[in-house]
Amino acid sequence: MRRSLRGVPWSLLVGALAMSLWSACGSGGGEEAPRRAALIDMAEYVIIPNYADLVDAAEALADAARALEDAPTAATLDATRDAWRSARRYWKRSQAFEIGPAQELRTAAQIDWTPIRAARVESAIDTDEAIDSAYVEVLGANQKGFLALEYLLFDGADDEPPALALLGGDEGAGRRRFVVALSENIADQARLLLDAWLPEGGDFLYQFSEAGRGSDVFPTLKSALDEVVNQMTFLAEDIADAQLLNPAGRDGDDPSPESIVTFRSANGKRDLIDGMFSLQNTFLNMYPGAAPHSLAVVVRGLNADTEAAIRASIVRSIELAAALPEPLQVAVVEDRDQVIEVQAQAKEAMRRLEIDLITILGSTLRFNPSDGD
Amino acid sequence: MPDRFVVALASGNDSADDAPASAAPGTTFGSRVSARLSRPVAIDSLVAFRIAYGAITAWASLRYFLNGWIEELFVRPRVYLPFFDWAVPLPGAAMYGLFAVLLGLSLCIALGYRYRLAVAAFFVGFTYLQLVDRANYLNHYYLISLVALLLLVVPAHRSCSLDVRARRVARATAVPAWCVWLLRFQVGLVYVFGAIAKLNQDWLCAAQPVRIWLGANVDLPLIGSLLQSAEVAFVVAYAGLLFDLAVVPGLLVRRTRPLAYAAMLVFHVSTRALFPIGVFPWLMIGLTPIFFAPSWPRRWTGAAPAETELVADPWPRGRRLGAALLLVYAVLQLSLPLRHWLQPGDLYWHEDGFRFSWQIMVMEKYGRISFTVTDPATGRKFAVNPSDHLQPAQLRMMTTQPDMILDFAHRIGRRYREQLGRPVEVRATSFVSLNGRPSQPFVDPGVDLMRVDSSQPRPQWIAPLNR
Repeated sequence: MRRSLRGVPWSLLVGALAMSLWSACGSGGGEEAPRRAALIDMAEYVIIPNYADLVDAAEALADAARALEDAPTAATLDATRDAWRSARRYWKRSQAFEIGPAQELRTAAQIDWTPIRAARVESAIDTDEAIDSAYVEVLGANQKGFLALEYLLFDGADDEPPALALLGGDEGAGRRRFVVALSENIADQARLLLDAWLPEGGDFLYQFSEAGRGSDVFPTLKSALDEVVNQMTFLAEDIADAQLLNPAGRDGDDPSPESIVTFRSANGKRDLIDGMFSLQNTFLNMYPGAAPHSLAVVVRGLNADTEAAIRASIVRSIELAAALPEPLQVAVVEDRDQVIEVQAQAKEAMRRLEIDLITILGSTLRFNPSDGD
Repeated sequence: MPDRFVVALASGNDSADDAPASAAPGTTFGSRVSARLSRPVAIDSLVAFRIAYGAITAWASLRYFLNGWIEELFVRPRVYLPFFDWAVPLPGAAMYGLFAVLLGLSLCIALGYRYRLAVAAFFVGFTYLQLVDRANYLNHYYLISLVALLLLVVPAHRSCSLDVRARRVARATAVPAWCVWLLRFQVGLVYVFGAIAKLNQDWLCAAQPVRIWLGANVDLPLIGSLLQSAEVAFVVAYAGLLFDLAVVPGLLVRRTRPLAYAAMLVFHVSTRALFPIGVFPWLMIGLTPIFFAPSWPRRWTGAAPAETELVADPWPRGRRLGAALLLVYAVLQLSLPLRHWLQPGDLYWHEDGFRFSWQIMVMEKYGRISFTVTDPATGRKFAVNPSDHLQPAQLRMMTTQPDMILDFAHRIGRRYREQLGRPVEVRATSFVSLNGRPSQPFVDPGVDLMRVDSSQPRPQWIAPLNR
């Protein structure tokens, strides 16, 4: 009797361990572990489709620009502006996963450098060289990309000639050509980005999804996850601080609407919301339908309250931002309290990512950095 | 009383120390305990303990050089948050020199060279380092300091030492049993209070922070994916608790001792593989054999037991005073880890009584903090980013530890007061996540920290934990 009783705890322990191992091994039936599955779905459901949409939208922008070059009318200019907004939308929605190829290709510097220099853009137009994507390629970052296009497509201050007037006629031919070249270059950059991810191209998908087990880029799965999470927190900080707090005025300072990057096109609110959507899409792996695995699913498995808090903070940020009057540069002056409310919510989302997400994924552990417990 | 005397030791009887003390009829409990603690036992396990301790602390000191920690933790910081204001860091080169000295002293301890001097100097030097900055506090460094203090009172150099070889001290092959029991007591406390610390809701009901820590080890070959499972986290959490609860009794009973030590090896090697906890596992693996029968090294090395042994009496004079001091020490060690029970609120949140209480690997806490200095005369506010003043490791620790937050707030407050020539107010905005919970406000943002004294109950200025 005593002998058998003595054996019970060990039997239970071994049994429980065996059950757990069986459960953990067998529950997936060959499925990937949650974190890897989240990365794979992120690439397949969000990153690659987003970049594919960016390519399509950038090519549509180039088509619209060519139509504008052929016939510089208000209609073709409006169509080009719309195409610009559409392409920019997919670019902004890719910012939460601006990792790997986007960093290696320096895509942000190629197509979204801020600020651009108007005089340098004008000097780039005034050239004897053939103006095409290859010409744009070698220009400085402050002469090209979305914001150089914005400068050419949208009207400036009241004392400046309207964009259409500058683009029209023989005098505007070089300008129109440069618009086409800039648009084509954005499309080229977008294709490079997409190709870098696709298996038939640079196959960064493999590097990402095989992190820690064959990837040359990510020695561990954790390093790939950390890279995404860091980029998400960086974007959240940019939204809360650069895109909202700076224009609304820090610490009671006067608002500075001119600090909105897309002030000229009055696209600030859309940039803001697309950045927030980028965070949501990356956290939930939703583009537009939700993938079965995501960072949200991983976090939910560890603490459902924390997952709900992170998700709610992003969703609420989007709701509040969507309710802002347009354009943002007017809202920061006339509806500053409302903008501050959005900023506070965006800051909460930033905190949720910087603290809650990082902690629960173990991206940073409390162990003393020197040695310990 | 002579400082050594000849007695007959139950030679070759490894379990002599485990046998019940023979007591004459009518003797009191106290006298029976006293008799048992005074009984001579082989010095060998004490010597092994000394050698292991010296070797591991030498390795710990060397790691500071190899990992660049002297520069990072003791030279580069511009602000320190010490336990006492007098514990200021030495100038850079001297700090490197101190670590070199500690390395040498560790080797002296291991070799038994000028043992008393070496262990005393090591205790002072190593403890001083721990006092320079609270950010560097580690449970096992606290243990290293305490063990150095205890080694100072036990004659662990009376065998297998250069001191004996040089005839600075007489060789002994036995010591009073209390010398061994004192070290067992100290090492055992780590496990016992480590187990008590795990008896909390997060550990028992949510397997936290184990789930977070195991999940972060997703890249481990073979078992990485298993470690993400909740079931495995619970098994590990409860196995860890059972281990901590059972290991000391297991080591004290001769029949279960091999199994307990084997379990301890598995436990510490596993934790070392999973978590970056430095020398802690090796320290415990090296020190725990003190629970073995005192002559275990002799048995393992096959050395023949001597029939007549010399007992090294560490306290030839003042035995009563020494015993009283040890009793005070023991009471202190038993009560310090329990002092947090006198504090309201959640220990892991307010951390009042967290240090020096063997709260080992029981929480994952992370947060962000910023400070605002207000000049009440003008209403002007100054935002203070602590990362402008603290190193990343210090910032990381300060953000979640109230006493460090208060110390830092007072430091920046004093600096602004000197600049402005009048008192200022300092407030903190902070959010902290504990064991995977959603982050929540930590320091009460309405409280002027310049008006908070370190003795003030923390619930008065730390927001309550929303469980």
